[in-house]
Amino acid sequence: MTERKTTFEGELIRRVLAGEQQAFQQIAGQHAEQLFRCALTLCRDRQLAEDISQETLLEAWRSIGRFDGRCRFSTWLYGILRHRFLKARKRSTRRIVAESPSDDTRYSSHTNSQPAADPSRDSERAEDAERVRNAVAALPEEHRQVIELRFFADAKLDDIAAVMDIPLGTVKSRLHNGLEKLRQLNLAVNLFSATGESSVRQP
Amino acid sequence: MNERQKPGEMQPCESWLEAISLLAAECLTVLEEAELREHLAVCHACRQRYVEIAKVCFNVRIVKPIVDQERVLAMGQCLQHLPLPAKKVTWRNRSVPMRVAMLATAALVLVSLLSHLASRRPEDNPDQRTTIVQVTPQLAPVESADLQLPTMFALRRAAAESDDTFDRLLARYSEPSLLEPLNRHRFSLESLQ
Repeated sequence: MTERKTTFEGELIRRVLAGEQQAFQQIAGQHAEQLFRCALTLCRDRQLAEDISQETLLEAWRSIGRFDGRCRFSTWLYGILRHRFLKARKRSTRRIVAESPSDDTRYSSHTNSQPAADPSRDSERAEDAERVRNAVAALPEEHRQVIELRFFADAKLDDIAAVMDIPLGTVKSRLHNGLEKLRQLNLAVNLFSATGESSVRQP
Repeated sequence: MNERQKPGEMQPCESWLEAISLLAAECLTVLEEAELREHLAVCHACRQRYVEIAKVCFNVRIVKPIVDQERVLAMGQCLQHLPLPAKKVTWRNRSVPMRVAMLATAALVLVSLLSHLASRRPEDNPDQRTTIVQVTPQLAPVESADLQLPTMFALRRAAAESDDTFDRLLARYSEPSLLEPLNRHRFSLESLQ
């Protein structure tokens, strides 16, 4: 499945390199959401994240000739994203503030899309979600970013390395340390039991 | 039992901890995962740790922020009218006339640079400096108007008028050396008359 996806992306990139605008729009559409999530993790400001993501895609189109295929296209995009983020942070006069974590509607539908058969269970789930979000937000910045990039933006490890401009080994150790801290914060329990999903795949 | 695990100890193996976290986060390669699963099959403590970390991962994944698809679509709207990317121009891509022009320009610049350097060379040795003497232009001496001879027209006119007029004209030029040719001329004029 992954191999087929890679081949398809490779074909798209070949068309993009040939100057086909439509192919680029297609490939950008595939990465737009992930880019936005990554940008959101970095700057924690939705409007700024949107701007950075757009700038990243435009910059990618302008400099598509420089993509040499030595890394994945997404990794290359994340490198541009990081560059745009640093530029935006430098020029932006507005303070990059953390979003209000109480805005539940902006979080995963797993926590609030279930039928409201039992209001007390719904409130339990909301409390669980709040607890997890608070625990993630309480992590040191470098651990929080890696955790969010991996689980919120679905970024691969080398993509995270490109976004944060750190070695792959550092990404692995930060991911491990972040998860270990969350485990120590008593997150290794069966939360969201009402979602009806099997939370853990057996080894 | 795996040799890394000490007998009777419930602590997970130190060397597998990171791999366990990466497996729970679905970040291991197929080979790494197979190796770890072999270990998990025989190590209860590591298996227990894996279950705990996997629960953490599940709980974190489930609070993933929602992204408004409208916003993502809006981001895509900026791609509707993309300007064409600037092609990287290499030396080989340039046209032949452009290459010739660039070479000619480079040659001209080189020649002017070399000539400039060559002209500056004597300054290196102050003894061999060339001294330029500026000559002040001198005005040629202007002859006095008194020493100028009367014109032939003036002589003829004066002679035609009267002898007195002619004499007065000649009297202006009192220099004997000047008068001699004039007198000769007078005689010739008289003879003509």
